[in-house]
Amino acid sequence: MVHLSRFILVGLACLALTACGGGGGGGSSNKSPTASFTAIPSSGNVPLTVAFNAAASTDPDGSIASYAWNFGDNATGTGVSTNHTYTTAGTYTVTLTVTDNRGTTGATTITVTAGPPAPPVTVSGRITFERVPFSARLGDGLDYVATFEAPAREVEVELIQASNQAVLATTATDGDGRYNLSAPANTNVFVRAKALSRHTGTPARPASWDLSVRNNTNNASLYVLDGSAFNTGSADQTRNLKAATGWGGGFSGVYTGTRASAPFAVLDTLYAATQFVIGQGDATVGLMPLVAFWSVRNVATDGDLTAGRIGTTRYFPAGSAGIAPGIYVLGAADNAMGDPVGLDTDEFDHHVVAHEFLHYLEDAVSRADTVGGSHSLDERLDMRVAFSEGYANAFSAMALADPVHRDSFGTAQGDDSHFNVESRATVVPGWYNETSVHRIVWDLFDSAADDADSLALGYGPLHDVFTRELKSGVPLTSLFPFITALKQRAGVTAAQVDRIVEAERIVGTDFGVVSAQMNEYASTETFGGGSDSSLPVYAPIAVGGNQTVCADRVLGSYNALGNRRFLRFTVPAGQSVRIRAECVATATSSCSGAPAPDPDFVLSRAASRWVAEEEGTVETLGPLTLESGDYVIEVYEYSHVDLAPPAGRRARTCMRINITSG
Amino acid sequence: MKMISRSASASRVLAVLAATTGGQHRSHGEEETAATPAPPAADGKAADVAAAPPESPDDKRMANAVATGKVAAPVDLKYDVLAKPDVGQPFEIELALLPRLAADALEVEVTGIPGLTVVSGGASRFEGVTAGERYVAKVLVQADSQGILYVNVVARMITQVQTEARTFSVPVVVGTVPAAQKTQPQQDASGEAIQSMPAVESGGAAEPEKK
Repeated sequence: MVHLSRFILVGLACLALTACGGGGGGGSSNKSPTASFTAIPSSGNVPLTVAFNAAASTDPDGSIASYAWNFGDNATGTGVSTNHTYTTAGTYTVTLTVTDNRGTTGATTITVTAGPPAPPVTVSGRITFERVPFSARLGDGLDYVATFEAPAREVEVELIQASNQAVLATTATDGDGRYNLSAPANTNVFVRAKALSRHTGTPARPASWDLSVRNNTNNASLYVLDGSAFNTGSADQTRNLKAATGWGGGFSGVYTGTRASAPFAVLDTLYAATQFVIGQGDATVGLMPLVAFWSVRNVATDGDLTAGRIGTTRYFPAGSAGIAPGIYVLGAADNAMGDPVGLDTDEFDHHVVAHEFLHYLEDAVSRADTVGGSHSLDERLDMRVAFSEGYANAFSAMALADPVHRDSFGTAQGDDSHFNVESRATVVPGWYNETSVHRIVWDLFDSAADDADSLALGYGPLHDVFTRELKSGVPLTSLFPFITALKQRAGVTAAQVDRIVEAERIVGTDFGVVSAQMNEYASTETFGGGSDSSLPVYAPIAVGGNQTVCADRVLGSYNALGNRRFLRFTVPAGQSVRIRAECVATATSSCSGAPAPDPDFVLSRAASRWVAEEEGTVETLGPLTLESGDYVIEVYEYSHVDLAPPAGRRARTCMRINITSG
Repeated sequence: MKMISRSASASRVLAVLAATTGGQHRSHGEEETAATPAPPAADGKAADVAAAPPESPDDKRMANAVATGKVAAPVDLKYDVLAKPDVGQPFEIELALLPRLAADALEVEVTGIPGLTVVSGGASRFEGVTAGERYVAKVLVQADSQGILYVNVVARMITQVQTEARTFSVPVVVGTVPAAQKTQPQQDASGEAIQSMPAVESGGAAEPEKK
């Protein structure tokens, strides 16, 4: 009875399995093993991966010691189970040979049919992200209830094989977020959209760019949006991927999920700014890579950038010691995810992001002599800071076609600071004020005729000056060389520019304005903004001569009007010079008292700079061989510009600069 | 820049690219302000130059809170945690607001976060704000858990023209904070570090073609 049931079981197994066969006679002392195996699937299109399993093989009087496979395509294998992939269409006889513990063998075969490759299928769809707009009423911050779906424009999309993460296909979305990928049939895959937009110039589309958004608190990892795995099957597939905000509901007040839309919102603003530059400034521009760093851990305190202590949304150029260059964007907000809680996250504040993009653009295609630092709309600033920040304000308005700059903050981002680059006036207009700069630039650009503005130049001429005279000129980057060069452009009516500039009290006196006489070194500027240390904008000095200028900290320190003074001189023929700066006592200043005077200076000629910043009461530079041409000197008392002066700051300090030959 | 030049005694002349210099300065953010901008006159002309005020010695012991970057209200913040924070024990934080311009009023709003409660002093208002003066607010907070926590501060400079705001996050270390564990980010097939985020997905197989 026992023997009978065993026989029946083996027989049933042989019926159920695809192949089953006994070996040759084993003699009276040993019976042959029976080989049996399954092949799943036994037919299909190449590449056809078949799983072979010989667990059903038996030996009536012992055990199976080994399994040998011949897959029929000159490939072999071992083991009770194995996989084999057929890459060429054909009919294959698979042979399993089993050997029992006494060396007797048994074998069996099955046939595997590998058909021609299945035609690829198309995986297509749309990549979108949720954008949270501002409330209709100024000051009310973001309106999460009005969240809408926006296309992720020209972002890179990949089809990933689920089993091994191999990239099977790559493409980019179009301007509406749509993509189309050819995929192998019957393959387990998922779709990945990267927070990356890049293009290498082609004859048809010559401009180049490379924009990405990464996590500065996670090894600068690139944000990617992943769909779920699916089998491509044999029919075309649609896969739409949306990056959601992670907001916990209209009025919840907190984020409760992954904030997947944030990196794509930042990227899309950078993309919009890039396309604005290409479309209206320079269709052939080749832009260096730009990385925006955003993290839910980015908070408004200074410290380790890789820990999220970024201070505020800001731009670091290449060359910043130990800092990965790029735009750092605030991201900490109320959340239920255990992330740091902050009151200022800027991913949806597109004017803020576009403002910082302009600082990148300065480095990419122009030149920025700005010293940066804190700034606000009504401060009287170093002219380079005023120009850089004001131009950035205007640029964000131009690129986004919206003159109202808004910056959300507060609980649930329910508040915002805002200003209109056209209508918001300042009480301290002038060449040292960023509000004046952005009002001028916007009026030059926009098509609306109002007050002194009858011009509508568009962005083209502005970009042209930005990338030519401002980049290569000797004068420091300020409103003066910008306006002077712009007025010389064909098609630009200088008188109309003058009226716009005069409205901001530039190149004027208390009794009238004379902007028509503006030049790149501002030699006709007589309006000093209430500072005793601002005029002349560039004090003249000659080789073999000397000049005395005074600096103070009355309007602030580091980057305020009056902290740094400027001189200009001409080298008539190439020669060796020495430059010396030292404190001199005047009727309004002394060289005594603490801290001791510490004059420093920077010599520059366009992008070339020579920094003389040793500690001491006398600063010298040279001998230095200079080519013929114009040069600029920026001179300052160091305690006025030190961010954290250990011994405090000096009051007004006058310095005599001397240039000698040899 | 000063540090570079002074440490490189052999080289008094340092030639650098303009972009580098500009950016390096931009990276500085801890503006220590002691300025008194002249208030504007009614006709828009700046008034006479005012004398620069002396700096408060108190500022020396207080950490800078925030750097530069986007346009923000002309006010800086220094802060000091007056006692070692511990779980369950209220402790005081001194906030020194340093306006760079005059304003009709300065409002300071302090909010806690989960795990850090503002016990008192969460809102302050100063009238007739003068540039260069120090406006001090003391906030009593209590932590419910250990860790690095942030006290969030919103400073609003209010004038007849508008209200401008600036936000700050004041880090507070409560108790013993274990060293952060660095984790290796996920990598894609090319070895690039990625941060994967789940998509909200729709779609599926196309409808079979109708014959």
